Amino acid sequence: MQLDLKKRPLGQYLSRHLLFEEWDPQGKGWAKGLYLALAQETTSMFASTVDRSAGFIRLEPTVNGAAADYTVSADPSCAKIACAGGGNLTIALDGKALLIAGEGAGLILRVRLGSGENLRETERGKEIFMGATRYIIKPVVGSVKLEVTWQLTALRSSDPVLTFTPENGKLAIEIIDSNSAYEIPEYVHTPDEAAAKAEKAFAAFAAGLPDPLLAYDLWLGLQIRRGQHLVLGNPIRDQKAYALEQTFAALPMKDAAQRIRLLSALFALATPGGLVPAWAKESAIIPEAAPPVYGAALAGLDFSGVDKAELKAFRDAFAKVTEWWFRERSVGDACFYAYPHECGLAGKPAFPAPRPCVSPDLLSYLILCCSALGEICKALGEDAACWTGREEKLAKTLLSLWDGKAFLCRDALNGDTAPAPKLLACMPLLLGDKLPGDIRKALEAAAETIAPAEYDSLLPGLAALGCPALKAKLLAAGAERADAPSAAAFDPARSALLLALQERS
Amino acid sequence: MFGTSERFDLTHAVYAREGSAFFLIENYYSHLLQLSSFKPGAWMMSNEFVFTLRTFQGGREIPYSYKGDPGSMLLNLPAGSLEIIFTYNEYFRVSGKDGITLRLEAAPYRAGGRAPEACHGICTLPDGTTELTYGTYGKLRFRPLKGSISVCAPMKGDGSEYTALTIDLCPDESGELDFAVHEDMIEVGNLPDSYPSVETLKQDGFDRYADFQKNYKAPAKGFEQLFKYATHTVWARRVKPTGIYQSPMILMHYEYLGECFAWQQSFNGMSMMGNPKEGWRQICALFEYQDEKTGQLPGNVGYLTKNAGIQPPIQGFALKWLIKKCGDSYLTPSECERMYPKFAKWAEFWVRTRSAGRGDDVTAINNPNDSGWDDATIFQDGFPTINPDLIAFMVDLLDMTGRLADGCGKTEEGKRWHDRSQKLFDTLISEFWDGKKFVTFHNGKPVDSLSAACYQPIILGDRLPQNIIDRCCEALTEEGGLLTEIGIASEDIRSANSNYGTGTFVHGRVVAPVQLFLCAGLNLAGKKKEAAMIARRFAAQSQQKGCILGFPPRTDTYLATGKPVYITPGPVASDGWPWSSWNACSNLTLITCIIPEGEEA
Repeated sequence: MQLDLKKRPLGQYLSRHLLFEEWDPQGKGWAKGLYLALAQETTSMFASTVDRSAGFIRLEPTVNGAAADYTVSADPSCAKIACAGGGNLTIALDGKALLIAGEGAGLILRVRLGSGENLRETERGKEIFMGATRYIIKPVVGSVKLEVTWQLTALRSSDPVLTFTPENGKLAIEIIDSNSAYEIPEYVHTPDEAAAKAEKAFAAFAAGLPDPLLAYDLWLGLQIRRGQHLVLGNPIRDQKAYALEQTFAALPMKDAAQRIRLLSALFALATPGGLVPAWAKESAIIPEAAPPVYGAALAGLDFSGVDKAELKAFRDAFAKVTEWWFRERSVGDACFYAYPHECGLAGKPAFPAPRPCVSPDLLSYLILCCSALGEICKALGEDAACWTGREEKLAKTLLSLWDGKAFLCRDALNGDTAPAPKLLACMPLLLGDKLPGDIRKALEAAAETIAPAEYDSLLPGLAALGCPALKAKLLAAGAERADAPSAAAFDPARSALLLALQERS
Repeated sequence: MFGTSERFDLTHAVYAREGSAFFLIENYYSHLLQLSSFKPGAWMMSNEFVFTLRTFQGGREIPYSYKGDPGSMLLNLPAGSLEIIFTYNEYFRVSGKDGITLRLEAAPYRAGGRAPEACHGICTLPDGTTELTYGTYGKLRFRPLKGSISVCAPMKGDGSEYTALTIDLCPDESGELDFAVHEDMIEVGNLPDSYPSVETLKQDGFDRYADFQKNYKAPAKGFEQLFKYATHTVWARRVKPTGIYQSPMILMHYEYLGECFAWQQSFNGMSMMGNPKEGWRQICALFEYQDEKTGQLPGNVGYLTKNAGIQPPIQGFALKWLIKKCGDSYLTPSECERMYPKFAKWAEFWVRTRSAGRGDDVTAINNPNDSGWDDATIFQDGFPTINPDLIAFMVDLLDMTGRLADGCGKTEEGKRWHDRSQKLFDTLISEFWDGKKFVTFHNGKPVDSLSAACYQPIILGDRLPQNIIDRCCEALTEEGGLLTEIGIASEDIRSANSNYGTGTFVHGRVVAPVQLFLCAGLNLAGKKKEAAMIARRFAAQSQQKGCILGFPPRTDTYLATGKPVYITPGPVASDGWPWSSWNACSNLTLITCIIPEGEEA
């Protein structure tokens, strides 16, 4: 499988190194070429950090000391650069190590630094100091020249330039992503060894998934944040792990244990009260709710094969985050959104006034949560009555929102009703057979009229899981959307959704 | 203390109190008070969680004057008043009886801000409270105890964001108003069943402030006013255990750099000579965040996060100062047992990660933050550098680590630390003193600098040879050189590199921590009169201008170049720098110890 580095980077599950080609498709003025980025938040002490959306190290291959034209080819294991003058470079990753080997080619690295950041020569190599990150660049074969000056009152260095020259035609460089404690795990020392490891790891991940390219996107999106394995919005451009997207990432995973592990990682981010933050990054969480769609990734799963201790721990965490809705967002037998954004769609308030809103999509999500919790309790040999009872009450409340043609929203305080936004009104489709046939039929018809513009959100994908007609439309549109216009725009969660829809077609 | 007609208004200073996240400033342009919270850690006035306070009576907006003391902030209207009481809890109270409505209007500090847009949502909840959610800026919950709430929050046509946001806290039919306004960065938890009376809450502010002042010795005569403002400035920035704060620490600012900076905790500890036990606790507080594996201390600690940056290892010097001035009764064996391993790890962190590669304890640095002399001319040739200012800190850190080892019976280990300290001290004298000043080296070459940093090893006090003490004292008291009418300039005012512009720090300004180091060093070296003379100049300037971190030594032209000095009058302080606890605690050491000792000698 070939990678187009203009559309998705060369990277690796849990590695922060990213290699991609910038071709400035949106005309923002980025210098075109090959870049190394690091999947990290900027951590400069002061606010004026450099915008790294086009990478922070530009790579310029050279032949005989002069910049060379080149072509790049890549697959999930490595990238190969062929210079017009005959030299070549191979780049591969092994976790925190990025390895470069050259034959007849040199390399110039142009580093872009932010305020308070610095690149200096230490006994470890050329070392970039970026907050807690130590990015260590060292020539193993060949020599390197560093050009950098300190800008005293700006509290930063000039953008450093590292020029690597081969020795007897050979070049070898190691780039290590370390921290202020200089912790460096074991790694292999040649691109060939690294490529072989990467190939094997990716093959294991993608086994059984219907589309290797989409599987690669998902693999690449998995990073460690706040000590958890989570899928990022985009490792180059968007370092946030969104709550909603973790459920989408779980959908194509093969067995219950895999899905449980990803959702457990999400639930580990919950506040002491059980609020799952809408997003989290290393430096912050946003303490606002996202729709509790987790049940969609658990519906119909067989939990019998999951380790009991793991399942019990998951049950506890899942129950806690579900209870949050019953404690903080409920009146009587109804649960409500306190803020419009809690529904997962910006700019879709059912009630423009600052009022709590009982919405059919939320009730559907919580029905699935209660249903899944009930099934897990049964798998653990425990009483599921608490959850099945809640499920029944919520189902009754949901049906009370049906006006014969569509689902309504209801003001949780005074009972006033209003039409629900079309997409949200269709979300009960997720409930599948749990819905009365006539309602399901009406919703399927309504779902087919959802405007393609709505597909930019991932939520229609959830509705499509219970609606074959919508699934077909989304798959057709999704293929186009998954074909990212640039490496900084690839979308792991969308790719995961497409994998799930393909699997269930 | 702070008010429209008081010695200082809130255009330059901040109104706050211990244990509360809230603060008030006066907008430089509108002269209306603005309310915000330090907890989001939004620096450099970038906070969008800001509300302008407006008052209405009889349906019309009525301007107010204000006056704040440790108990409350009073908003005075021609026909009545309204009181805002910050508390040690996660709420403030608003109380009034004169039919006054208080409006909180989301409005930025300055043009271009996005205050209404920063609000993510408003909701009236089933319990009758109204909540605002501001994403990573936190949440506000308005609970009417008397009166009612009225919200006006129009949105853009697409419903994506607010275009305006006002929350009116309205009086009841009898004209009374009583609100509790809660904040939380994550979730507003269970609200209390009842609240203490307004009078009780106000008295708590006075009591806690009075109690906090006992941490200091009495000020030198003539500096009572500075003492009052400086102690209030520190007290008002004292955080309680909350968020990731495990024990009280001191914020640098509220609106500008609203976090607890690492080495400033030791500056504060040094100044608490009225209660050295509390001073020692203050020095130790930072170690609660020490990396177990590496020994590293964070650069700063915010409400929710700590920063991995580095600030200089001042803790040994700070402890030495407390011992010299107050004795060591607080260093019980158990306390030494607790802190010795932490100091040792911190010292080894520096030696291991900043080694100059010579096989000894000499350090080399690649970043100015490691020295604290951020933009001083000792770094004009670039990095890495070997700095005598930092080596002096290390001499004291190694020595005091040995003192802690001694204190818990580990005398052999203590001796090894003392020996290392002595060896490093000998290296400092033999290799870094050029006969006139201490010299920084870059790649083995001396850096040509007229920075006051060249004299910072004076902090080693009477441990230094007398000829070095005398020369340092001579340099630091040379009028028109480093010494100015308002204290010691961070760069000799005759230097062509001197620059007091708004974007500089220790590139020429007369800055509080520089006075602290150099005056404390002279004092410890026996030059008490000279130290007091310098301290008096800076303290007098602070008493007149306020607890601002630094002042330009000249406001007309640079002496060396004749170029005009551009000091931008900013919205938060006379030269763009707001009031700071760093100035306050530095001044507290100067006026409670260095001036009295020098003038009594």
